[in-house]
Amino acid sequence: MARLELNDLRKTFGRGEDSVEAVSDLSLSVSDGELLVLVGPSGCGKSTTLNCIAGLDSVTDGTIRIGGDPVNERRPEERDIAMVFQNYALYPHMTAAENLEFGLKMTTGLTAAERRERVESTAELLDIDRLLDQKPKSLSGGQKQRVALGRAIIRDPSVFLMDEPLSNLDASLRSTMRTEIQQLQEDLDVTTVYVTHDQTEAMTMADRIAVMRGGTLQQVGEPLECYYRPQNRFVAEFIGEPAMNMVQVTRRGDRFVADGFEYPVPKRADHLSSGNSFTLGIRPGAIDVVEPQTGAATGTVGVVEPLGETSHAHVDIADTTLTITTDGPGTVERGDVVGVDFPPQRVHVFDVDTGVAVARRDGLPGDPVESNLNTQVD
Amino acid sequence: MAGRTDTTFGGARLDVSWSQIRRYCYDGVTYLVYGLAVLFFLFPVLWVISLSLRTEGAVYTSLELLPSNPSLDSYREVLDSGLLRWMRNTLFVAVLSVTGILLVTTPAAYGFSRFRFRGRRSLLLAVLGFQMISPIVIVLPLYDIMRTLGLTESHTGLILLYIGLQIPFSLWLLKGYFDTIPTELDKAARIDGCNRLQTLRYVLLRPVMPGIAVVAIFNFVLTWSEFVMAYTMLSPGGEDLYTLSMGIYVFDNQLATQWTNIAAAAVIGIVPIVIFFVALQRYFVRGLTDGAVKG
Ligand SMILES: Nc1ncnc2c1ncn2[C@@H]1O[C@H](COP(=O)(O)OP(=O)(O)O)[C@@H](O)[C@H]1O
Ligand SMILES: [Mg+2]
Repeated sequence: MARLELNDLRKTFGRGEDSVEAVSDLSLSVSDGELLVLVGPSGCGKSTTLNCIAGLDSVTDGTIRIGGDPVNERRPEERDIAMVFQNYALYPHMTAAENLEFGLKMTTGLTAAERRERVESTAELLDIDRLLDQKPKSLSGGQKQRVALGRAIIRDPSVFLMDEPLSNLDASLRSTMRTEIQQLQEDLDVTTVYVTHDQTEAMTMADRIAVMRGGTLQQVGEPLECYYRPQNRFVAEFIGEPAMNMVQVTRRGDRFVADGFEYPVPKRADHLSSGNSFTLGIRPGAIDVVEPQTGAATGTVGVVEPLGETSHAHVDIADTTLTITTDGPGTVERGDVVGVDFPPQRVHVFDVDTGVAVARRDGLPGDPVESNLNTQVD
Repeated sequence: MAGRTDTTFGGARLDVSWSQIRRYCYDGVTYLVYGLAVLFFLFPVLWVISLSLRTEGAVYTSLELLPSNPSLDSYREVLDSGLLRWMRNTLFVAVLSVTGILLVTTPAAYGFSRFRFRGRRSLLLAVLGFQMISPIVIVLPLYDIMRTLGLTESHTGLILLYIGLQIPFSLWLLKGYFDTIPTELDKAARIDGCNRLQTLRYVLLRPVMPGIAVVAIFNFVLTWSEFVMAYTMLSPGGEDLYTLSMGIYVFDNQLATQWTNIAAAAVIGIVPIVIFFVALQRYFVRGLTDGAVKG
């Protein structure tokens, strides 16, 4: 059993004037066997967090617990963790087998024969048994990443840490490896923290996502929870592709209004004061195309990007542009005048200044009892 | 689709022939420049070899590269003098100097490259500042100091001087090599259970080997041929202590400058450097071909 807990983790680089707080008061727990994806734009402190967990960086403040034991004072190899890096970090002068074996050699009392056996069974698991005698330079990117994974797995750690392990691979290989890592993690049932800046990777792989921004945690939750019930505007815009549309509106009576835009206030937003301004968020895929003048707004279709099954259309309404995901080609054409409307449960309302979601929906689509879902972290 | 392929194919063919012509011209010019460069560097060496094979009388009279009646007399003469002993001295000094330099600068360069500590920048700059001072300028005070320490007229003293004088440059060069090795290798090593020294020993030493080879060759050649320091520190100690460069100087005495002997001693003196270079050369090549981290 290895549960990973971070308690008010803080990491500051440098001192005094030009110190940088890379991670601020991060509290997070990853349950045994869970795959948590730490996601956020580059520079938000993901790698720093991972390095702190690994013991490669000392923490400025806060506690890290693995399996209940505080590990702040332990050296990396005493923390029972293994790490995979974006650039593989294979030892260039060792063969694949030696790369796998090195950690065992340094940290265990296993005999050469026992180590060899571990190397072989790990290699078999990852389908790299034929590559064992090769040096990293003669391996392809995907093969290197497998060896790097093997080097982590062979130690049989209680926590896996992966720092953007797929970012150096090309798109098609990335999606195969994504599935493989997910499968492997499930089979081995090892607690995993997986870092990426790619929200698609986060959505598809994670048991839970932790979204970070500028060193602070924005939201933790299951992927669809973060998608449908973002706690703030940052999460709403970061998760989902294309990004959520944002419209500045003012409440007037029972309507949200803006230039060329009028939308009835959904019931769950009823508590918001009239006369105040808000940011409405609506996902491109949630927007309905309707007859002109019948929806919340009417606009002219600009650029249409066909993707095959779907298209992204950009619709100009007054001084804003909404991105809309429509079915296939031909649903709307450039120059069409169309109406747009939003299903009330798909509309997000954010505070204009703080970006905090002020009228979140109760549950996810398809939930029998929507209000049962109260797993949000505040 | 097919039509388009055809036109591009025709266009491509035209392109290829033009670019081939261009490439031949380019190659020709390249070889010409290389040839001139090789001649430029090789000519003095060939000339010295030529001198070494002449009789003393032919030094000033003949401009032929191939002497008309070559003789090995000079080689015989220099080998009968103290040359072999001087070479042994030089080898001893050079090998121990290079070893000392590497023993100091390898861990130091690793430290400067990998650790962030108070005063790191100032220390590096101080080291660089020392490098700016020409050894010639400080040779006399150095002699004073060494004499006070009782280290003149001894190889130990000279070796210590070489190590001290060559550390700054070697340190900077080696630190540059360490900087090119991704720090993820260190992290992986630490997670695999290495302490800092083990990380250096088992993980970083091999990738940094081309840098070590450069430092070794550079300093070997330098100490092998160094004259001013050696002459200042060793000359009162008698010919037995001499290094090669001082030994060659012996052939330039008050009575006459024995050019053929100087040339013969110089030719023999080059041999160990060539051997040393060839021995370490593969590390350069490996440094160029090893895919250190990314593919
Ligand atoms: N060793 C360091 N010294 C100083 N600042 C650092 C160091 N490492 C990271 N930082 C800073 O901490 C912040 C977070 O970096 P990082 O954790 O690498 O981000 P991410 O992995 O999310 O891209 C960045 O602003 C970065 O500049
Ligand atoms: Mg990072």
